[in-house]
Amino acid sequence: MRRTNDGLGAAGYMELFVAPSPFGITVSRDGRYLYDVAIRVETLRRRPGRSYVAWAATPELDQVKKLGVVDGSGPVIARVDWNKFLVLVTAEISADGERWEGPVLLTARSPSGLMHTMRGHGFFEAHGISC
Amino acid sequence: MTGRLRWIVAAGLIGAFGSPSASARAQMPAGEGGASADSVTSSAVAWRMPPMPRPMPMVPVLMRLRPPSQAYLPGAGLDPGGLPEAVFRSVISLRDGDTLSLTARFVRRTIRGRTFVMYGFNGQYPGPLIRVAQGSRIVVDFHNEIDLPTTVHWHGVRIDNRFDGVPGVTQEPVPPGGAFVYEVRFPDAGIYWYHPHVREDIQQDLGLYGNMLVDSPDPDYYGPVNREEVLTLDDLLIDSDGLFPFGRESATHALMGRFGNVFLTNGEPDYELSVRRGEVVRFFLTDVSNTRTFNLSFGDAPLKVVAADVSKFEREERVESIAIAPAQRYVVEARFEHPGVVPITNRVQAIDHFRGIYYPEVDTLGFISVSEQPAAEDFSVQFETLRENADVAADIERYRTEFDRPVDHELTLTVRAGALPTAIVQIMSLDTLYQPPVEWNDAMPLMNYASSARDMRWILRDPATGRENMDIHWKFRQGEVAKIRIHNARRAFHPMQHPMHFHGQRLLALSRDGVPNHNLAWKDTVVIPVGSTVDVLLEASNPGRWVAHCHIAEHLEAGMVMAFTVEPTEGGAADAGSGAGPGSGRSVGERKPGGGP
Repeated sequence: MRRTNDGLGAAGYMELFVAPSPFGITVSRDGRYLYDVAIRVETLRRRPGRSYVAWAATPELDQVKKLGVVDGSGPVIARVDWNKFLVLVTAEISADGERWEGPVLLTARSPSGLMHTMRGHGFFEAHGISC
Repeated sequence: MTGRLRWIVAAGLIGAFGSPSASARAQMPAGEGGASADSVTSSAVAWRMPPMPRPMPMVPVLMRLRPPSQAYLPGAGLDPGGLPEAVFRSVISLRDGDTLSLTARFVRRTIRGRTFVMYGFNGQYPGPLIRVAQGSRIVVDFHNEIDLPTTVHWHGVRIDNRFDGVPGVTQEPVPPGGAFVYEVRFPDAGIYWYHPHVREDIQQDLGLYGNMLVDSPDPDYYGPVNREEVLTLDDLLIDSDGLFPFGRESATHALMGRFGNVFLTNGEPDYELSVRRGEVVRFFLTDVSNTRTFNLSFGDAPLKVVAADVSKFEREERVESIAIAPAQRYVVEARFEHPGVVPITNRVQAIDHFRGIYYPEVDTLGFISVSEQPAAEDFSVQFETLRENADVAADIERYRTEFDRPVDHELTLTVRAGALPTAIVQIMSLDTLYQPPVEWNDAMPLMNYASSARDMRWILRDPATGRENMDIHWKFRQGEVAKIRIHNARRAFHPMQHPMHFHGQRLLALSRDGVPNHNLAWKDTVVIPVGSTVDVLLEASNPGRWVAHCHIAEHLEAGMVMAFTVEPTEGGAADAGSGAGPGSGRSVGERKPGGGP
């Protein structure tokens, strides 16, 4: 995971595990891959009155899912079923919220997040290729 | 590769070959649907642009690509009107010692009002459903009346080696007009299938496949259901001019395999089944396609998976959908609680590499009509109960201490681009940052169709020896087990999932990427997603010289096959053909009455 400017001193990593399946391929009914995301935070500067919470979100931030509270007792493990997603660790006044409000300390993205469009690359437009 | 570097490379490609011309755009096929007139195969078969599953950027250099082999369609020059119309398969119940006459022949198939020359076993689609009792043995008197050499492989059956149907290993191919007598014994209950093992990319794709349903003597082997249905899942590539040609000298679509654009369930594009409200239906599913992995569901009907290739699971398990790869079988049960029409759908998240996005792709394979009339018997309680199969668990238990044994053999799955056209190699190098675990559809139809089994090699590599494909030859003793680690290299030129099939034996998929599998079933085909490492435990129970290969038909044609031998134990039941090469069974043209070789 990458630390943000607010996450000075923080370090952690995210692992993706394939959710178990009798088929050897784990997807939802509509074909989205199912992953068990494990988040381990190794160092985190303690902030009084704050809880550290791990979240998953779509890249457009239109859907957010709380993965769990990071309390140093072990990894946070939760299931995510989005095609592309971000993972964040934030510092919250309350761990009960449905969406983060505090500063983002650590971020990561799914490997599928590396895909990006070739739209906007000039040669497609210059040669009349709609993308 | 940075965004700027991608732009430079791609601009160079476009600059070299110019913009798509109006005439080139006019050549774009209309895709499925086109002309409604019957297709009469011409003796002159020519390459044409493949159908596009969705609008894609037309890169000029790709539009000029053609496969490096002659375009071929079976029966080119034949008038389909002179061929018999294929009929839906019959169910043939055979007893121990019975003989079945099986013929591969040309047929006329009508699919959505269009007529095609295709193949069929005994003039049927799918081939006859052979129903036998576990432990029985039958004789199959096979005749080849198609235009290509062929064999019959009895997929998943732990058969006597000399009847396994692998050309160059257990027999010579049966030439057109030739014959071969197989003896098939059925040690395991379940659902199996038979298909050619010569140019499967053509023969299997055009209809040469059928199922074998092996009944356990235990009437309680499966739970009670209201009905059973045996379904084959397939697809066929068709455009406005008819069947899309194949490569005569070598398989096309070697990159990803030939994806069809018309789904066929039991050979029909619009499968239909009528059931009563509340009925529980057991589906025996077989993926007979060249390359497509399906994600199948039956509307919102609750599902549970009961069995895999060669056995039941240790425990029945609720599932949302069934992810089934080529050659695999699953037995699932569904309960249709509400009246109405239930679609059978294939739902996947396809990838548009140019736009860098996922997009949902939903295809309807058929419908199940659920009537208001209630089921004659209510099996809802039994359906809700997830059975624990103690017999399977006990069978597996004796091997449990082997699960953590050191790995005996490893395989790395990769690919060598070889003499692929430069344009393909360059464009594919633009997008290597992410490869999904599964390619659900043809994301690159132009490059795919122009890639030939002659120009690229799909590879099984033994990292211990460096040997590849048929240069690998493992040896096992009958009765031993071997732990095999199979890794699908993510950094390959074009990684793709591979359904790995081992002939003549059964195996357990122990783990994927270090995560143990806690609900086991005996299998013969295990899918290895991109970037994954799957550990399997192979039970070498059946003596002889066998093969293991990727069951994507075009990958097999591109070399993705290896050999292994199971040496019989001293004084054990040795197969007469063990270790022998071709010709150890009944030879072509010689048809002897029943009995041994």
